[in-house]
Amino acid sequence: MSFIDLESTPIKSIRARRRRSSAGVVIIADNYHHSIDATIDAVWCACDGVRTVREIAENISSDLAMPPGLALAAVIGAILFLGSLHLISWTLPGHPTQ
Amino acid sequence: MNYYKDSHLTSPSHGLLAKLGVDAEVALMEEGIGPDPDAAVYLSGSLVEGFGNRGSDIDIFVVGSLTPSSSGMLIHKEHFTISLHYYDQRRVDFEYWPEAPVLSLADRLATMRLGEDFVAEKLASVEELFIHRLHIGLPLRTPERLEELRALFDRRRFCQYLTQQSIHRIDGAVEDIAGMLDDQHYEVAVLRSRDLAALATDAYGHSLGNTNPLPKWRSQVLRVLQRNHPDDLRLSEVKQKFWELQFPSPAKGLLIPSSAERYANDCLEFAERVVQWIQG
Repeated sequence: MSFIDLESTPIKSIRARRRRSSAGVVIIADNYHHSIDATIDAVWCACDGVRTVREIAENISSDLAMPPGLALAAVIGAILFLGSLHLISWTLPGHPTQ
Repeated sequence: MNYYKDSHLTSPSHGLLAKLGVDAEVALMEEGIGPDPDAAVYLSGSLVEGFGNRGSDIDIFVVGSLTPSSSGMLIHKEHFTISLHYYDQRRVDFEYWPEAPVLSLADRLATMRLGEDFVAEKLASVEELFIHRLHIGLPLRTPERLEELRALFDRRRFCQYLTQQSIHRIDGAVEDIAGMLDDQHYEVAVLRSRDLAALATDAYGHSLGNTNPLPKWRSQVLRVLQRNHPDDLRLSEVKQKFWELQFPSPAKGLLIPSSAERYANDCLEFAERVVQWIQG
């Protein structure tokens, strides 16, 4: 099981690209196309290496009108998903731990 | 009443040709093109756009049922024929396109599903150039025929196609660069990264309405776009970054692995930022 440090600052992989098409939004990396929903897309866009996971969740809560607890859960889920595909990494000090 | 038949010497196309040392009426008559031909006849190419130079040839398009006269040297291509003439130091190409391939091309553009994943290379380079040159053309005969022809090719749609194609090319370049860096092929990675910066610049230009697909005019296109969009701060940034990434200083240091990686990352980041500006 993975844990997320809420003070860690996730950042998009430089090699991953976000593309919009008629089918929705995909993230492309290493020739793979990953379809993502609006929540994961919002999290992806917020992974700028500056904002912490906690701050991203606060923004998502506000932008998508989600209760804070639900937004935090959604953000953690999205980050775990993106991290498992190596689409994001973490800047120090926080990073996922086993 | 044919405006240009009666007062052709005042038309923009005749005036431009006169400045270039070519008498339009003499050239047209040598090619057997009368005052009211069964074709759209228009001047186009880099000189019309203000990009050309003393070495540039003059392109005159003839779209319809006319065929080339025997007075020029003929070059046959798959869908069209070029009749070459020389006036002093200037070459004049009469490009004859029959109606059928032009209508087919218009239909392909009109029915293209632009939102779908892969539109790249659905039009051949020569077809892209034909559409571009149609949109910038200046009539030499019967302007209404040129307007009818132009109406078959939606300019906005064509820009969307070119933009999307540039983004597909960006995606291909990104995958190339990633593999090159992983295998420590730094020289090719640096050169491909340079391509990437140029492709991103193209994509932004097409999104702003540039229909010229020729890379050789990229800097001229940027200059024109800036004139037409003086308040577009992103365009200013694209232009500045394009030149920085084309000629990084010191370029020699790029072959050091750490510098090559940094340069590639700069190009990757630039391209991604530009695509996000375009796609939102």
